[in-house]
Amino acid sequence: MSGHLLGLVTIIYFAAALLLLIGAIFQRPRLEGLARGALVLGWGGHTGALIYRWIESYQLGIGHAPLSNFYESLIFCSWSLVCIACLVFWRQIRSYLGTLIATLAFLLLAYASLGGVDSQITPLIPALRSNWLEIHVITCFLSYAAFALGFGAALLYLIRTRQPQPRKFEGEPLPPPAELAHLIYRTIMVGFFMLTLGILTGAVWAEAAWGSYWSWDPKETWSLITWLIYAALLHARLVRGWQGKRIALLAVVGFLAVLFTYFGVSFLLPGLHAYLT
Amino acid sequence: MTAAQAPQNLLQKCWTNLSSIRLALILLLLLAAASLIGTLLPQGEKYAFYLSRFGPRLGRLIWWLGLSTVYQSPWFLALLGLLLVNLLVCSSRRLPDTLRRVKQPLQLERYQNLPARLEIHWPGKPTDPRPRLESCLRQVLGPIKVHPEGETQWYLIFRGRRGYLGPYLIHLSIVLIILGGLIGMIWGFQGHMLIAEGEAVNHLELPGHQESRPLDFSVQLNKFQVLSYPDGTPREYRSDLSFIQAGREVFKGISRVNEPLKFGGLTFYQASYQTVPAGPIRLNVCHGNLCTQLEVPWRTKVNLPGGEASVMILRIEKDFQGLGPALLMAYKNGPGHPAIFWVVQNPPADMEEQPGPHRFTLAEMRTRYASGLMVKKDPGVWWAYAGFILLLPGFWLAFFTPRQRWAVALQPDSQSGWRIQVYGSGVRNKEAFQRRLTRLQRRLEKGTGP
Repeated sequence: MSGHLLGLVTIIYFAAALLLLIGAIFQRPRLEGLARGALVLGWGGHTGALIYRWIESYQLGIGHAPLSNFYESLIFCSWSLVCIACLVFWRQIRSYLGTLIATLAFLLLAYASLGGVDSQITPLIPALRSNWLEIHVITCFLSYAAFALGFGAALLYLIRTRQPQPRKFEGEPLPPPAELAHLIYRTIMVGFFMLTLGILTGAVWAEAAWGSYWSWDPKETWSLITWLIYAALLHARLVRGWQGKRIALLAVVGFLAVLFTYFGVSFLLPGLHAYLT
Repeated sequence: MTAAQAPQNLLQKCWTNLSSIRLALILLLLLAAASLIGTLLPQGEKYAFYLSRFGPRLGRLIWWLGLSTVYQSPWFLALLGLLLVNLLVCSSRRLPDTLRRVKQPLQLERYQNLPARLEIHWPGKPTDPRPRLESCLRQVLGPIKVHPEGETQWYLIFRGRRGYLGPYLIHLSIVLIILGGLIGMIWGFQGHMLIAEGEAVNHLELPGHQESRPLDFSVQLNKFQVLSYPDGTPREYRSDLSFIQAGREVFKGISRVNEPLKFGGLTFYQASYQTVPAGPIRLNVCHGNLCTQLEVPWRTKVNLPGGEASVMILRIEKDFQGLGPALLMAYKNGPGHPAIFWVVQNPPADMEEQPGPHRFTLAEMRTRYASGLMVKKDPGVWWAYAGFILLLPGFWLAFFTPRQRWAVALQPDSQSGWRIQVYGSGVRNKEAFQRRLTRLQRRLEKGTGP
């Protein structure tokens, strides 16, 4: 049942992405407004589907938050992206950046339902039965989402400042570089804070579950690598005064580390975090 | 640094470099790169493993560079130590300056040059506008400093100046976390104990050590349980433990996954379990029509009567696929690899046939559980946790306390009313500044009404 609702949400996100793109190319602010409405509607449905899945798990007698396997993590990743975008960066959900956000949210959901990912609700293994599960997963995914926004802004920045400038086309122009640079900084600030919370909650949990708050498990290590890259970015910007392209490139590198932390570690490196596969 | 600069002695040079943000950046990225290597190379294996996996040359290089245990290797710890020194030196060099900035009284000259944001006229009234304006400013902008200058009354506000302290709190907490890690590494230890139900153990097996570590108490496993979901998958592993000191039970508790038990400065984690025999194991062995009963000890190689063949019991289970107690046996008859198969009491017809010529069934076996506990002492945990907690206000101050400078000038205007001019800037977070400006404008405009 929650699956049907998610199917609908997937379509709504796709429509929102399409509307945003058309609105940007043909400079129709009305369409953008419509798309934002669709995105919020989709997000409401998405939230409903998550809650419904939660209830379903209770009906199966194994009740737990829908944050326990790869399918649920994809669904929640998409949810976090739209959540962060709507709550913190509402004014950025327009034009090309808005298109990127909606497309990414759509792709994550589409992959979850069509990519051959097991969508069954399964019981929690003993190691995951903890009150730390929810807060740890939520903070981590909100950080991924914020970093994804920063990555989008960095991409747009690199395109906008490319030399020589691409041929002029009739669509809405990209935001000015200064605005994009500021957006990169703000998204990464939020992401960095959330990632730090995610690592800390994970550490406190690991101390109870695995007997050590830090055990150099691949997932832990990669989240540290990601943290170090973004820490370097923030220091470079705030103290060394780095601007523009170098910051954008670091934001791209940081997001690659995020991707590897999420997908790469789960599929390529064995470790304690192997719940996803 | 160019040669043309004034010559510095070595010490000064070191000091400057140690406290440079460039060093910090390099260290952060080097630590990231080193951690990356640690996740790609298998860690903690034996020398021979690296030789056979990567060839003699590369394998030896990996070993000698300490890449087999990156996170404990001297150079990785040196990087961490350098980061620690860099943080401390850098912070201590900048802190006095920052404190001065936080404590510095607001100076009119700096504030008069802020960009103008707003101008509002209050109609002339016999009453003094100052109390009204001041309460308005206090509500929207916080504490004000009054600065009269001729006919003009200036109000200066510096919001979020405590934010300057954020980075210091963050760095202090990072120092605490790294120190906690080092303390745990030096004074902490991790061991393991396997206790069978009904028995007590008074020592710890330490990884990589021959002799075990004695405890001044013993741990008794009263009961081990696997609780399951309705579909049969395990939901909880729990050990009911008693702690015995001088022959007396002094403490009793349950150690579960995710809920360790603390006693005597140590923490006991439910780590693993296995089934062990609770008495002798007897097998029926048939060779052709000749059947005998044989007592076989656990995990010991036993020669079968009459010659070549030998058996060893590798593992036992309380209940194997619903067939009751079972044991996993290695059976070797003549040259070649041993065959490995399960032996039960009453094999069903569809069970895979044993290779023979000997046939085995289980005659008698009573089992019980043994619980594997991980035991840990880490005096560094509280240092790390102190760091964790301190990080939160640190982040709040550093990232979410936008610094804004405001100056508000009040002077009589030509129509016997009052003119209010607002100047201000918020460099790092323009959105937050804009929001507050809008709020201020609304409040001030309301103030003009009757």
